[in-house]
Amino acid sequence: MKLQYLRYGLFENKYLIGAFALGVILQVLVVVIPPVANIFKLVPLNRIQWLYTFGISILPLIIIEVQKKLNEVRFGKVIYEYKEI
Amino acid sequence: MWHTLSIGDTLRKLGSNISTGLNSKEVEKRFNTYGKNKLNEKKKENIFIRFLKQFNDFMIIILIIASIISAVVSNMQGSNDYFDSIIIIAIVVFNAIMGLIQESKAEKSLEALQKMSAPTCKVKRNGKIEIVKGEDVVPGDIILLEAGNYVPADCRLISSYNLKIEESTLTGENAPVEKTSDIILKEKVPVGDMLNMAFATTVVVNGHGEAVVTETGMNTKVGKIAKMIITNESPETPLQKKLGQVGKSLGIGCLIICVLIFIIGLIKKIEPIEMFMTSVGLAVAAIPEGLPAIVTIMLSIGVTKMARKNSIIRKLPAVETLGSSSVICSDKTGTLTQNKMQVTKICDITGEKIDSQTRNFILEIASMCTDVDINNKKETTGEPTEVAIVNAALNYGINKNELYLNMNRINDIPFDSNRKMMTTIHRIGNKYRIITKGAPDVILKRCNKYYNNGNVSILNTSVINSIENLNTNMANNALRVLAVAYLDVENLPSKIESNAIEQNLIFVGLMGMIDPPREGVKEAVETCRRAGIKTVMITGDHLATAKAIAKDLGILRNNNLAITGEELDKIPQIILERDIMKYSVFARVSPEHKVRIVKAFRSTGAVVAMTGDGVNDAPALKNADIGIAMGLNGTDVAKNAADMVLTDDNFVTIVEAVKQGRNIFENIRKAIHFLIATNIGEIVTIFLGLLLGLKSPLLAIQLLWVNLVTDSLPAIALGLEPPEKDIMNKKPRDSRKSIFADGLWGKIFAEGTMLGVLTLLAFSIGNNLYNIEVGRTMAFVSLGVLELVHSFNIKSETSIFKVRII
Repeated sequence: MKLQYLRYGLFENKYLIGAFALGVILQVLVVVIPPVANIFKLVPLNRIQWLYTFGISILPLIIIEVQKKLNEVRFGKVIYEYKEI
Repeated sequence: MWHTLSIGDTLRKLGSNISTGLNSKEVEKRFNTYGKNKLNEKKKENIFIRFLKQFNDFMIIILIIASIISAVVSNMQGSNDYFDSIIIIAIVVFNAIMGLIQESKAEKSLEALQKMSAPTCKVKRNGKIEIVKGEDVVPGDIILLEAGNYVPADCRLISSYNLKIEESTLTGENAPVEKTSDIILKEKVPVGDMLNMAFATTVVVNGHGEAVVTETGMNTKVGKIAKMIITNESPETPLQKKLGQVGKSLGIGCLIICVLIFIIGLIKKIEPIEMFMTSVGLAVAAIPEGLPAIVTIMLSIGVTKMARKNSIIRKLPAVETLGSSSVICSDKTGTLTQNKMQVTKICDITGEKIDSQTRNFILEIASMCTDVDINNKKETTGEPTEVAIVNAALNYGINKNELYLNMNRINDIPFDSNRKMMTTIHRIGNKYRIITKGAPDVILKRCNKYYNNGNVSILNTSVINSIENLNTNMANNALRVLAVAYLDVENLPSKIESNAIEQNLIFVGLMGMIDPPREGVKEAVETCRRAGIKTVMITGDHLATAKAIAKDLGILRNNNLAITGEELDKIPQIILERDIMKYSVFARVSPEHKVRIVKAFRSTGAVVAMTGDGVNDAPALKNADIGIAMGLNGTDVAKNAADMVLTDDNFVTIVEAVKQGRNIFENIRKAIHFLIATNIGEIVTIFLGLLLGLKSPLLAIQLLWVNLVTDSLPAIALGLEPPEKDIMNKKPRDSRKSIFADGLWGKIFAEGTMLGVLTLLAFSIGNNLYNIEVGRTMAFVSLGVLELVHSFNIKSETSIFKVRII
């Protein structure tokens, strides 16, 4: 038995993974590099503040995944049928 | 109407003289009346004006105002920080340039048509023969047509000697038409049957003749088609319309919110200037600046992908429309079929089951009786039917060139359409062999014996009946049937003519040939059926042939109907629109029919794709939602009128393009979903934040960064999502439904609210536990990462934690 987790679902679109990684890095860099942070009127954060930030940021994933699962349970999986034309 | 007049009447009507032509004064007079024999060009707009037109968009105007306000405020505050303004203006200009490039793919159709007009032409004027430029010909001019000439203008033939003209630029038919000046025709005759006329942009391939010019310039048949191209506007795609509306709505919504904020600010006694800046920030947050550019980028990426799969997209919006196609009207020859005649059945008088000796004999004599050329690479050139025979023979190792070495071809009676047969005479030792091939019914009449397994016997009624039955059977299966017969004689008659030679022949056998379907077409048609797409066949062929092939490919099913162009003429457009879905096959159709068919299908709300290759197909291509031109065999005019060009002329490519189109649309939907949801999140953050507190949770420049940089990358990545497994097992998207249908707006608002609340949460923690700068920084990072995380939610309709176990 093989697990094809790389080809379906989360890791399917490598561009999205890349965009995510790049995006997070850029957000952090803007805050962490002083001259840049100055332009954007941002200040450095301490460890706890970073923790709060990332902790909150994960929440959408959890919320939506739960909702999707609930929908599946209530409505069932959609199967498409075709009609004669 | 010129084709209904006699030569004398035509000349009189045009005031011309057959022996002297027009005199110079007459020529000048007519030149002033009718102008040059040219097709009019559309005026091109000044590029500067086109650039300015890009700014005529509601969203853009709001952004420009925001930028000005920002600059003014910065100025008033004495700071040199014009960063905000500059970035906003940069975005606006970028959008304008993108729009301009899109529109710059100019219409080149007329230029291509121009190139096809005859460069020069021989004209009889002032009693002498002159050479004039094609565009200087006027009605009434007597022109001389010779093999290899382009015909410069529409004209009535005065004399013709074996004159054959290839009219594919006008009728789409490759086979040259035999012209004759001596007939008068009825009024209602299709262009392809106007044997006493010659038309502009067609080519003389054989013989020569004289003609009097009847129409020039935009009045020629070709000119009338060009007129149809100019006046038929291509429709705007639903997506462009919708995004325009959304932009407007968001802009208005944003203005309302800004006014509300301002009032709230006044109530809470906050400085007006600060409120202004917050409003700017809100405007920036609300308007999805990156949206038009990102959609364009996604469409462009889609285009590149499709080019790799043999579909060249000429007009960007076609990518989106392709995905909602519900009817594909395809030409038969060359698109559904290979456009190569192939022998599929060889029969003798007993039927199909023949031994190899008989088969070889039939192929031998048949291929010797052809004018096909075989070069040393075994490549064959010649008339398609004859090429089919020679190729079939070559397959069994029978090469006519080798046969000719022993059986010298010494004479022949060429094919003509009255006799419907052709004879070659060969010398074998001291004797002569006469071989005749042609239409079965005429060959049979010239035979009194038949060949069977090496024996020759006298023809009787039962054998004749059996042969006729075989012929009928094959014809019903859409095969073109040829018969072949021979006779060995000791001496040849003195005169080599049909009545002397083509008599008392020995009937040998029949060959049935067909233009086979391309590989994969049947499967592609089935894919379309499962995808809820109706396939329609359009052809110039006979109805019977068309029906047979359509049935074989699965296009003509159960209750579907087939109809000819002539029958179509009897049906008024309203009735056609009502019944159009019942038809799957259209045979013997003209360009005007094609346009009617497209319009009828579209009237039912279907999204129609139509193929074409000839000049005459251009109006139909423009009227269709997706015009598809053939890349290999298509004319330049067709390619320029089309939205998409197939580099391999293959029907299968169309179906693949539809799949790509559907995928791209889904992905654009996801990208838009993402961008607007995140924007709403930002609006909610600021709005709620101001309601609950005093200061804005985020500054304009921070919002700009998240909106432009953080959001753009995932949006584009969503555009590169691979197609879902069941993408071609669903019905086509209802093109009348907007891209936001099926509750998308609801989801967008719900998700936006969620994102806004969470960002505000981060801000509150930072602001209340520490200070406002920390609050804003935490809000900034949260907003960005929240949105990045959310892109994964949008990526898939179902859970992304899928794992396949195999």
